[in-house]
Amino acid sequence: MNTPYRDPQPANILHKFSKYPLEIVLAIAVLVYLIIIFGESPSGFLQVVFNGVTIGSIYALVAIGFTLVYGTVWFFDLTYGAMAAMGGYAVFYLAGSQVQNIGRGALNSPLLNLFFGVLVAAVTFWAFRTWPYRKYRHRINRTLLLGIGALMAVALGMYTTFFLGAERSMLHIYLSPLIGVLSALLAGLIGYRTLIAFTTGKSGTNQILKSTGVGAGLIIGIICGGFIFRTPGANLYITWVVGPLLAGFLGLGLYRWVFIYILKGTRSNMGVLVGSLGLLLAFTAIKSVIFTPAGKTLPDTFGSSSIVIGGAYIKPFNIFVVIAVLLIFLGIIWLLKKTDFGKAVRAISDDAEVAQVVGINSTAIISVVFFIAAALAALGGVFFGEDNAIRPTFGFILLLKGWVASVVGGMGNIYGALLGGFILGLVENFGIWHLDAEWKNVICFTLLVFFLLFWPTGLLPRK
Amino acid sequence: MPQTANADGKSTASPSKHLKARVRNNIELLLILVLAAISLAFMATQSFGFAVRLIQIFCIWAILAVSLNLLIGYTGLLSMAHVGFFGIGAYSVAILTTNPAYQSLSTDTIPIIALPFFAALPIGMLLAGLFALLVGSVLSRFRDDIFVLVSFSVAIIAHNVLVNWRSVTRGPFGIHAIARPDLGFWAADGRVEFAIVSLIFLALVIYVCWLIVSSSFGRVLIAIREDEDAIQVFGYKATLFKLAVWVISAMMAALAGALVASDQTFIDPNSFILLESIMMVAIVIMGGLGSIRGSVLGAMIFVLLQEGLRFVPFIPQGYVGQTRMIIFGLLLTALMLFRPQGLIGRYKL
Repeated sequence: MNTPYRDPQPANILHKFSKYPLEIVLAIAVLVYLIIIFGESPSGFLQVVFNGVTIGSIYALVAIGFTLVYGTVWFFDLTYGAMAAMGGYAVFYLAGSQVQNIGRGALNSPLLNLFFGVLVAAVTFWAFRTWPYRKYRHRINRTLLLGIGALMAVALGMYTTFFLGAERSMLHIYLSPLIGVLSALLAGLIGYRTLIAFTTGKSGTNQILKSTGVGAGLIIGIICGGFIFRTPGANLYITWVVGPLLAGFLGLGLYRWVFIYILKGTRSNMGVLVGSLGLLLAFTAIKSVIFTPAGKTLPDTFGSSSIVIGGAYIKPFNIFVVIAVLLIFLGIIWLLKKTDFGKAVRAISDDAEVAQVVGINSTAIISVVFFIAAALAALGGVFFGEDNAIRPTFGFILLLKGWVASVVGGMGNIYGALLGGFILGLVENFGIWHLDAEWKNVICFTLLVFFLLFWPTGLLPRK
Repeated sequence: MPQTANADGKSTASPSKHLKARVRNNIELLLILVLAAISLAFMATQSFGFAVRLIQIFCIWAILAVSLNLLIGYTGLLSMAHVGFFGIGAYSVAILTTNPAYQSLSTDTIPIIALPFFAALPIGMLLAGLFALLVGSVLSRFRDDIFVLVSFSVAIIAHNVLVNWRSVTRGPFGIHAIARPDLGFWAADGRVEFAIVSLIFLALVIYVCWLIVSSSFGRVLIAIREDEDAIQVFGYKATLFKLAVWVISAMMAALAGALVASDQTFIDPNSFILLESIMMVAIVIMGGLGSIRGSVLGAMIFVLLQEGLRFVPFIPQGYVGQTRMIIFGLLLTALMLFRPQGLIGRYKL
């Protein structure tokens, strides 16, 4: 009724731009610099773009996971860097014998295998206790239910310990059941969802749909498992899945059994930061003890030989990485915007207490967020490791780069993380046009300070 | 039987209560004394030179920890950039005092000034203070976790500059022939003399920190830690106070760096990596936040652990550094879980 009086805004576009003098000048300067470089050597320009996009996609992947965690719980989890390093080292642990002539003893630590076995068992039991147990405890005998859960957990833990210590060349055979079950679950879920989407509202079809989805999943699972079983060359690519999954288990376990208690006992979020810093330090040192601090290279992938586009070189593997990162990004967006899980995550992100009041199990939801983020970080570590030598400390640098990318893009905004990753990669690579490559880190952190000073909300501020 | 036990318990109840209270009140002093006794016993089993070496290392870490506690424990600024100022102090003294006689060793030429140690020390501290002023004016805009991560990047930038600015720092080759403290009539040439110099400087630093903490300036710092917005309402410019304590702390770190450079007479960038900063933070948190005694205690424990690990039989010599990292990393996490204020601290993180 009584609308407040507003000054009439001049519709002049020049007026709008005159509010951002610094940004305009900087944009023009960057443009001029790029044109000069392009004039110096067009193919060199293209090469820098390729390098920047390649590394930028890895930064973006790390930044997406980082933003996912930070945007949900609003504290920094530095073990995220250890997860990134873990991805690379898991691939090295399981498939490194293909490229480096290391004795089997050095690549097989029973203690490590046992640790991950116990971890997987614990997380499995926790997951069982959190979902199926709560759902069925009123209908089925509780002791029986818990017994089933414990049995499952122990079986999965023993399986993990077994295949981590198994003969490396037989890995595809031992792991084919796991891949089969995973792909069956995924295919069943997708099939069921798609069918539901096409036949909403028709009563009585639910049971048929469920069985159809399960059946399709089973068939696809058997096909996938069988395919892996008969393909010895798949060893390396299986480890790309196994590494992130293990990292995910570790990330979930750390949140559920360490960070929650630190959060309870300390006054601010700095406690978690320091606690996770300690864990990062310990993990890095453990990696140096097991794998030695020297740089390691991962086995060659399908596309290690470069192809030439316009006088610049790029590896098919890198094109694959860029596409994979974009697909993962779309998947995360779908997860956040279209599913109940995403709705819960957004609710916790807005206000954790209110979310709990309305009946969201925030511990479980945040644990799953940590699982996803750790898996993404580990995948980033794998992709990084396939291109560069991996050292125990590379995870921390990757974490900081991912953080810088998320600041550039806008803290807590998942679109910003993607944008920031690519921008950071490009800036780093264009920045060393006139400098030595060693100055990359300095350029990166100068960019960070610059952004924090002038545009602390980043390019795409969170609404 | 139970009756006699009860009677015994009752008869000794009040004295033991007194004893308990006295122990509790003086727990900090007791802890320090017990540790000092352990260190003395440890030293006694080793050679005299090793004992002096331990005291020397302890002094450096104690100066760093006490000065860092001003930031973390009293002002609430969890800084990871301390190693940068440590490095600036070390490198300024190194560059200013390096002996021309050894210049033939070098492949890069660096300027030769060859000042005496006691002339180079204030210049180094001043340089570190100026750098801290520059960095601090940027850092003082941030709080909490953003502050921590920006200070991480300051440490990384500082290390990168030390490695890559070869025309001044000689990069990874390091700098040789750094001067020892020399007063003309008395020179700290030997280990014992140098340890004495370090102890004097440590006492000075502790005294200055004690002055700061017990002054009204220190009380404002504590108020900033507790509630920065509230103290601003009372008319104190929190940013200025933070900047002041930041610069003071950085100059103390530079002093420690100068002592390290002069003691070893050789430095390279590997001594100034981010890990050292994390170790300093670990010492401060372990000893106790907001307690100068605590930091001294933390440095003692740190040095004992670090040097004691060399004598644990089942750790191979190459893995001592890694074992140290594992122990301190897990210790940090355990502290955050069970005792966020550290051993004798007064402030929970």
